[in-house]
Amino acid sequence: MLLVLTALDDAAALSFVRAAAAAGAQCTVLTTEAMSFARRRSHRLSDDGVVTRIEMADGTVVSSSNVTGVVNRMLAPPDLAWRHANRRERDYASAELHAFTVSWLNALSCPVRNRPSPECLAGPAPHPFVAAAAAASAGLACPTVRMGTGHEREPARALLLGAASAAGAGSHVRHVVCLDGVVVADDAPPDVRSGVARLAGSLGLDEALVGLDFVVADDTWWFAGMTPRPELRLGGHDLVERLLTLLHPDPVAPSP
Amino acid sequence: MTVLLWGVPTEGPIAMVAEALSRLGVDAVTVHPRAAGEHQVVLGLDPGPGGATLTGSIQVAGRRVALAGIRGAYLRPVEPELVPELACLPARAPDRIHARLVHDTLVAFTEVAGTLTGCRVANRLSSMASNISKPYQAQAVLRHGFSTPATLISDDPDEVLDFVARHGQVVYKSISGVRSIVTAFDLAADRSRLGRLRWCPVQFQERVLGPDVRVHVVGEEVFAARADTDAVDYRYARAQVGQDARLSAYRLPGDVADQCVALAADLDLPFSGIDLKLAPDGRVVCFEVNPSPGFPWYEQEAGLPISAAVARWLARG
Repeated sequence: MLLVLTALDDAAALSFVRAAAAAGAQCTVLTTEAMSFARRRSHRLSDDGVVTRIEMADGTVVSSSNVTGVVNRMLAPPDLAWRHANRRERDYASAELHAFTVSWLNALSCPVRNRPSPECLAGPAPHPFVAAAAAASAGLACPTVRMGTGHEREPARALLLGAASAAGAGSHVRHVVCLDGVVVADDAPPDVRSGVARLAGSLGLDEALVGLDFVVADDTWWFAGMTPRPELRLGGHDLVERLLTLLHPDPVAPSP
Repeated sequence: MTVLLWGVPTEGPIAMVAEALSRLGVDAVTVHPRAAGEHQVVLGLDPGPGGATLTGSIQVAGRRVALAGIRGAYLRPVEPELVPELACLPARAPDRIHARLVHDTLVAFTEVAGTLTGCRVANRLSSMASNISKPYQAQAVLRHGFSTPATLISDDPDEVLDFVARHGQVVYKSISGVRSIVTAFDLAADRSRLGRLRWCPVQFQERVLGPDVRVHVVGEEVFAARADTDAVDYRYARAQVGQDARLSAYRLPGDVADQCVALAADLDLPFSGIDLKLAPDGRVVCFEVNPSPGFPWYEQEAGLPISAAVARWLARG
């Protein structure tokens, strides 16, 4: 079973599901909304390991043994059953369901892109300043970045604005998908590809599906941020094939 | 060199580490969350050949300190929205925005400083996050050779009843970072409430008997205290059995001490509090790794020089 975990409105994830089907791989889509009303959830830990079983309302059963790969795009825990509860109880339940999801997906032995980090269900989410420092060490073009009292408030925005300022007028934003350290974009320059590979190594993204933002001007790609929820459609058929090879054990028919 | 103390200065852990730093003659600057309005801070990343350089400064009580000169940081911050003087203000009130800026900038600094300047941080907030999911953390615990209690997290009352029948004595508690009191499951009293599980899975664990041992790891040093009590949760022994747990210094076997140091390092927690149980069957059961241990009780009751060790570790940056 190839699982796709996503919110109902994640067009990029649903596009991947359609492309996978066209390539002969049927995905089982579990939305945050549906998982919020799962019929049964069980997660066992012992010295012998971890076993999870989730039964959905439509009868779908997801267990530790029947999942072959996961595309995880979840940002929020499956807590919609609590949306009308008082805030204190809702926050508690949300934290518990977040904890459940983090543990479940990290315990799976099959490939998962991405395994949640404790801070972010969708996967690795290093602080923007950490990502920027790593990008600079990896040889990518990095802008000067400032934040603080009297400066930009939000660190991710500070990085993006720094890149835009460094690139100057006439620049444009590029979002590229990176799977396990490999850039999936035809037009990325070789030095950007090699820099991204080094960046992935230093940030522990060797088994991660992320999106990287650059501001491009005069052939210089200024690093501007990263996300664990890349725009999958930008990876095209190449990305679909790579993901299916990674996550789906059965041979996949070539697309027309 | 300067050490940054980020937290309420009168709170036990911050006060004791500040005192220990003073005894060492180490300069410290304390950022009090309730005085954020008086703080100014700017953090910069400047690119250069071979990587980025950290720049900027923090101004506290009229004193300006270069961030690159801060060699150690001990973190027990309070979210601005939880500071009493700010909680009552509108979200867009200037004082709240300023406090949030100070907070977020210090988060950025403490996240990146270790890499760029070698500053020692106990602990980075991102590293503390492993405690957000106890069963996730338990997977690391298992990798380091500790035993973990048989655990069921379920929303199925029948499955819970089977688990209770199998293990006899069972406790329940939260799995997230929300603190909860470990409570014994009472089949007679709790059975009728099991239907409520349907809304959210709850963690049940075999009750492991034997003494509790709290191990504080500071870098590569360990300080262990044994807690003796009949309470299910020794931290709440007074409420559960009428008197506090008795704490005493405990000498850990060398291999267990090594396991604790390795586990803390794996979780990137140079200062942590590891909760162990010495089971009668010989298992060393690990329940969790606390990323921001409130250590004064253990230091004072068991005579463990934890604050001095933290100060030494911070000062070696």
